[in-house]
Formats: sequence, C-alpha cells, structure tokens
Amino acid sequence: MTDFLMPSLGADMEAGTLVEWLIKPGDTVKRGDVVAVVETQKGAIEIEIFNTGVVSEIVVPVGALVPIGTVLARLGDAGVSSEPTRPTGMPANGTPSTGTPPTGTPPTGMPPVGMPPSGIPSTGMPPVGIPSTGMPSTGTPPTGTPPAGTPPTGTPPTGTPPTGTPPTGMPPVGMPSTGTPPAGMPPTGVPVTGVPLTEAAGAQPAPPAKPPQPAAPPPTFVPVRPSTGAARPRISPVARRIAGERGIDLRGVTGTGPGGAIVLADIEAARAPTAPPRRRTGFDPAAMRQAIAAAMGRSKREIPHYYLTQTVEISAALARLQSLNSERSPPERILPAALFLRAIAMAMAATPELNGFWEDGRFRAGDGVHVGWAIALRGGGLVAPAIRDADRLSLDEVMAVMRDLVQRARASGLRSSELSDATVTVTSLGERGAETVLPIIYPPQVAMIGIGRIVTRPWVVDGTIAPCPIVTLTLAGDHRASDGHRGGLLLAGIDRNLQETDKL
Amino acid sequence: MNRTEAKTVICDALAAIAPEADLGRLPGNAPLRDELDLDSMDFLNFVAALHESTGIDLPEADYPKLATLDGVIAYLTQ
Repeated sequence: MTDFLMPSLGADMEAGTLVEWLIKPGDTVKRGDVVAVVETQKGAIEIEIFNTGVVSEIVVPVGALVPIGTVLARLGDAGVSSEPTRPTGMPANGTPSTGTPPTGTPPTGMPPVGMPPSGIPSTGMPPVGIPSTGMPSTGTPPTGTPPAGTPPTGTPPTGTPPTGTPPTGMPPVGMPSTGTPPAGMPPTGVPVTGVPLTEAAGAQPAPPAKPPQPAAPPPTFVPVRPSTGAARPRISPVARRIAGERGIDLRGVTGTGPGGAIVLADIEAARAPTAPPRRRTGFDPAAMRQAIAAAMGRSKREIPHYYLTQTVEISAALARLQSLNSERSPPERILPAALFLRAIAMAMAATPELNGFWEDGRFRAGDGVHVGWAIALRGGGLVAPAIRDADRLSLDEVMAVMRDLVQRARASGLRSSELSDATVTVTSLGERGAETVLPIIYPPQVAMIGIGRIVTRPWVVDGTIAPCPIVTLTLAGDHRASDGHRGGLLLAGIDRNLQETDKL
Repeated sequence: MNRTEAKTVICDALAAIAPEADLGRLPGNAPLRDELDLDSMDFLNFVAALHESTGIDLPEADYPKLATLDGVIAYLTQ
C-alpha cells in the first residue's frame, strides 16, 4: 500500500483545490501519469503520480483544498513493487517530527508537510503564499462533526492512535514539526467546491485539536491541523484579507467563529450587495501576485544575492540563427531565446555549484540541469516551468519544449513536476524588454540568469569600432552557495558557447 | 486574397494568441506587438498561423513589413 501525496508545486505554492480526478479505484497507474487536476494560484495544474500500482482508494474528494503533502489517494501493490513513500528531507531513520509543542515562531526549517516529486524536498520552505505577518492560524480542523460530504476514511482527526502500522518516517500530514502552521490554511477535509482558492479558507474554525501523536501519525487522510499552541484568532487571515479587498470595516462585523472570531462567512454576510461575484478564470491575477510577492519577499529576506553582468557580442550566434531560419517554414523557426537557453544550460552543466538548491543550511546539487523558463502570462503574473535536462537537448528540442511550455502555461495546462523540478531559472526580457535585468532568485534555487534585449551598439572588432548586436547577461547568485568567481566562470562559459556556434 | 479575407485570417490568428483583445478596435497603423503585448513567441505563433492559413512563407527578413495591421493586410494581399 502506497500513499499518493499532493506534490510540491514550487516555492510559491502551498496548496491547491482538487477539481478533477482522472483515475478511479481499480485503475492501474504508472509513474508520470497525470491523475488529477488541481486549481492553484498559477491556474489549473495537472498532477502527476510518482508511483506505480493499482488505485485502491481515492482519499480527497473533488472540491477539497489540499496542501502539499496531503494524501490524495492510495495505491495497492497488485504485484507491482512500489517504494514506500517517505517525505524527502525527513531523517532516513524514520524519526518523525519531534513533537515539540509549536512555539508560534516563524517556520525555520521543516515544512509543514512535504512529499515533493523527484526527490526535491520542500525542506526549508516556509509556507509561502501567505504573508509572514504573524497572523494566527484559524485552520483548526473540525474535531466533532465531520464536514458534510467528506467521507472520513479512517482515523478520526482527534489524535487517536491508529492501529495500523504507520508509514515509516511519515510525519503527520499537515503537522509542522516546528513553528507556525500554514496560516490561513483551511482544513482539507472541508469541501470547498466551486469556491476560488483565495476564498477557500473560509472554513469554520473549531477549537484546537488535541496534541498530535507524532510518533504514530494516522495513516489515513486527516485534515490539516495547525499547532495547538497558536493564539486563538480574532479574525481568520482570509477573512482579514477579503475584508481588506472589499473595504469592509471589521468593527461592524460580528464574529461567529470560536471565541467570537471573525471568519469568512461573517465577511461574506457583511459584504456590500453590489459586490460582483468573483469569477473563476484560468488563474486569479491577485492570487498569483500574492504568491509571487511571498516567494520574492522570502528570497530578498533570506538570500544574500550577488550580481554579475556580462556584455556578449552575438553577431555569430544571430547569423547562425538567420541561416537556419531562412530555410525553415515559420513553425520550425528558432528564436534567439532558445539559442541563449541552450548556451546557458551547457554552461550550467559545467558549473554545478550554481545548479541546485539551498536547503537546511546547505547546498544540494540538482540531479540534472533543469532550467526554469520564466513565462509572462497575459493579464499579469509569471510562471517558470522546467525544461528538464536542457543541457542534453538539441537546439530544435529546446525550441520545441519552449513553445510547448509557453502554450500550456498560458492555457493553464502545466504539470506538477514542471513547477517544482527547476534547478535554476532563466528570464529573457525579449525584444521589447529592458537592456538589463537583475533577477531575484527563486528559492530554494541558488542562481538565476537574466537575458536583456538584443541591442545594436558600437563594439571593437579587430581594432576598429563597428555596430554589433549585443546582449547583456546577468547572474544573480546566492552567496551562501557560491561566490562571484564561480559566477563569473558561468557567464564566461555562456559567452564562449554563444561564440562557438557550431556547438549550439 | 482580398482585404476582407486577409483581415479575417489575421484576426483569427490574433484571437488565438490574445483572446482578451478587442480586435475590432485595433488601429490599422499602430504597432501590433505593442497594441496586443505580443512577445517573440507570440509573434512567431502569429506568423506560423498566417503561414498555415495562407501558405505564404513569410520569411524573417519580411518581419518588419508585418509590424502593423495595415502592413500585414498589405503583405497578404500583394
């Protein structure tokens, strides 16, 4: 029996609403299959499974808001061996959360939950998407009556010791080992069908649950439990936010939550009758902006950035492209961005110190050069899906993947692994962008590379000045993982690759 | 191809790329990429869509002629 957990969706996403199941009990699934669709701040994301087996149980109903790490479904072995899942980043000896009473301090180490795909732990990621304002959580799960429509599948969420053998080393789902729980995270057991993600946290808070049993976590789906030591809320974070958005004066709102706390329902009741209904679109620009702000805020707080820039003359590279494209019909043409990406990926492979993650106070190298490609979405917002093993793809293959990713990013068709696998991110400003960009590293990555607009400038060629196409490449590096010397070698490598066009 | 046909082909291609745009109010002489916020990939997809529906090759060297709606119409009807 294997638990299939909600995978990580990148540093700026901690939960999504399950909107569609593509499997049912009895179906055979294999690693990499798309099995569900989750609505997130970045639009609808296709969730891939990372085990092989036969579906024995669907645990989370359609409509539930699920934090990463939640058990979504269970697989039986059915003669197919599947490794037991263990959250990456947990000690291999199976030592679970220490059970230290939450102190209310900001998250410092372990994430609340985490079964990220591809072995990328979300370790060290604080709950993102929620500003670290110290707001208390109201996401206490219901302890008495189960939420209507949610079939409790096993141990009730009261901390009763389970009788079955828990998965080794599995922390209680949704239970932070230290620190504050994901503020604003609603109980996952509460169906939120049809409610946009940003409003989904309006579940009724309930009195805190009993302290968990860290050493014997319930092996079944349980609602997320916040720390029991959290201060009793007066207003839930989502209620506060929605009230702010709608300009509702909280002094005029009567709280109906526990202890008189104001919950989302109270805000809904108080809202102006003229307030337009929120429509669900491909993604919610406001929610995405919040996610970007949270991830970038964390980056600026935690990562000691250093910046390097290099001006690269690219007449040879552009001549190569022009020559290639002149013989191709439009759908087969290659953009300069693909050429840059290939040159960068090859240089990254030679500079492994900049390709990977900063986690738990140390660097972990990536398992390949998976380049996150920053794509601007129409209507605002960014998403940076990964081009896996970009250093091993041909120029045509890089271009094909880029086209596919851009198309799917804008149509909300990205997959979960694409949002979490990137080992470095590249942003290209394009023909209408600025000349230089100083990127902000996307945690937990340790480097980001920027490509400015191609411009024609005076350049010295063979002792004389000539107009030449040039581009400014920038590197933002994490000083905890590398220094400027190493970063300079990376930029020099990219420059060299762009001159040796026969290698591209 | 006459002007009306060209405009239909162009609007179909643009609608797929910028679904939120009001193409009926697109100025004929304004830069398309600025008006519709088209990046390099969008523009390549636009050219590819025109190629698919008209069979015209639209080489890169001709891209400057495709800067405005009027320019594209003139190019397709020439």
